[in-house]
Amino acid sequence: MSAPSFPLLRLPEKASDLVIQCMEFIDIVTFSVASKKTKEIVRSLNLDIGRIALTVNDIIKIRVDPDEDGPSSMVWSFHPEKDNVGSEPIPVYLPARVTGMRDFMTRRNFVEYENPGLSIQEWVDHFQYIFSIEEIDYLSFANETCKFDWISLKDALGKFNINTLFFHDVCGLECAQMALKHFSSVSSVSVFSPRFNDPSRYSDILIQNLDLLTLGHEDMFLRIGLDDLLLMNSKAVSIQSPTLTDKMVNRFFKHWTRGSNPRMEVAHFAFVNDGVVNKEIMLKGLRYQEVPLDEVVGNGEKYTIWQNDRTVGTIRIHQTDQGYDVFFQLLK
Amino acid sequence: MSVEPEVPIVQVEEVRENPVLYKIISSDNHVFTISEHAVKLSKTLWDLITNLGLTAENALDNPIPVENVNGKNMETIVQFCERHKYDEEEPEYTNYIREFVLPEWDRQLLSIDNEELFQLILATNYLDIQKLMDYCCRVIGDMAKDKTPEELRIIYGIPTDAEDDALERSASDSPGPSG
Repeated sequence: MSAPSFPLLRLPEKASDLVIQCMEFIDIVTFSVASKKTKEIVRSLNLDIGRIALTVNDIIKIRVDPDEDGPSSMVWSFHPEKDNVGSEPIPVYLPARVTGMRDFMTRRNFVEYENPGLSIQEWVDHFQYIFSIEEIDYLSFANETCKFDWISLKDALGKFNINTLFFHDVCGLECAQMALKHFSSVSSVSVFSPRFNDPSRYSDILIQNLDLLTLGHEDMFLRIGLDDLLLMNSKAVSIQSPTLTDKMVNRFFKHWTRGSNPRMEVAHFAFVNDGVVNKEIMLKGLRYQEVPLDEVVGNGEKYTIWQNDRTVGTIRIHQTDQGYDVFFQLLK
Repeated sequence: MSVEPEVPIVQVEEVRENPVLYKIISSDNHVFTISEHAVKLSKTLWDLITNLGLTAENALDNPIPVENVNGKNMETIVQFCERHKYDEEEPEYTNYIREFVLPEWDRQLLSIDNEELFQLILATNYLDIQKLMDYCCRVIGDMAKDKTPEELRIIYGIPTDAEDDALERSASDSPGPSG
């Protein structure tokens, strides 16, 4: 005979809340799918879990607080009935099994159970609801091609407010372009895949009116050129490339002083080619003034540059372990 | 007020540093002595002691009746408070999740069946002993570890949505007081 249940929901609210706060986040999520009542109880606790992200590879996953190792860090994977085989693209599946774990390495707090009937969209909805999260931090793609039919994927995930599209590992260019087409409301794109080493092949991405475009990663050999920089139309750009030179960025700033890249407010150039960034070359031909060291926030030397009498920006040059960082900031 | 104890007084270890002892009478007339440091862990009892104006001189002559807590639970509570009376204050939790390790002594103390644990939490809640509340809730929260939704429904007696709906319907169908 099994032991009698512990009547959790008959406890005073203060005590039942405390019990849930003593659970691991993995178990809190499971508790929240036990019934509508438990879902509301978890929501009422206003638990802070940080950011959530979605990954679309062989299967779809929800990652919570993906860059941290805090108590709420976890990965929820949604598995189809059978392996996603057959001719691709396939429609987004109704999960048959669900697994949750605190981290991949230790499989700490690992749970696996039959999906309680929720679609992928309903799972994302559920996470957003119980943790009061309005925005999905990013939607990431790491495979050469997307396994899923784009219309089906958009139906499943398109209703969510997704901040960033993230292309990494071996994500292919066509996959990224289709993602941007179907999730066009994103405000940010991050590209860390070596398939994007040649920017001349994706000028359609460079010219997007984004809030942030991030290109380049240590796994890439991004061959960025001046023409690529001048095409960029985002408010903030962050470029890491071994082909960046002080001369190229100087020319970029000269173009800016003449009105190019009018939406740009912030730029970061990471020089990772062991070369030296010479401030004389970086500032050559620009109208500039050095900012006194005691007024510089952050490391390095800082200079004010003028586009015209009304528009002013700053350039900060900072040597790092990997090379140099050059930051541009529009002053409003 | 004077209540004659029907059972022997439960002795606690002698408190050399602080000789002030109080007497507590449970709902089933068991009498317990508890030291001042220990009783301070219960906000309810300490407020009562303060409000009644009990002092070192008159404390043992004025047992405090606690009608909501039976002798079994009171015994556990007195043991717990005596054990933890000199603990440092708990750090503030920086988020809503309470991450702490339950000491083995306390895990043993709280290795009781679910009904007893339920009654102990009600008593702890009434007596407002935060640390014991945390520890009891950790024991109950740990029951959820790595379980499926179906297992949690059994462990915590959570009705399904259909059962909740049926309960709601029957509650709304039943005639009201004037009915």
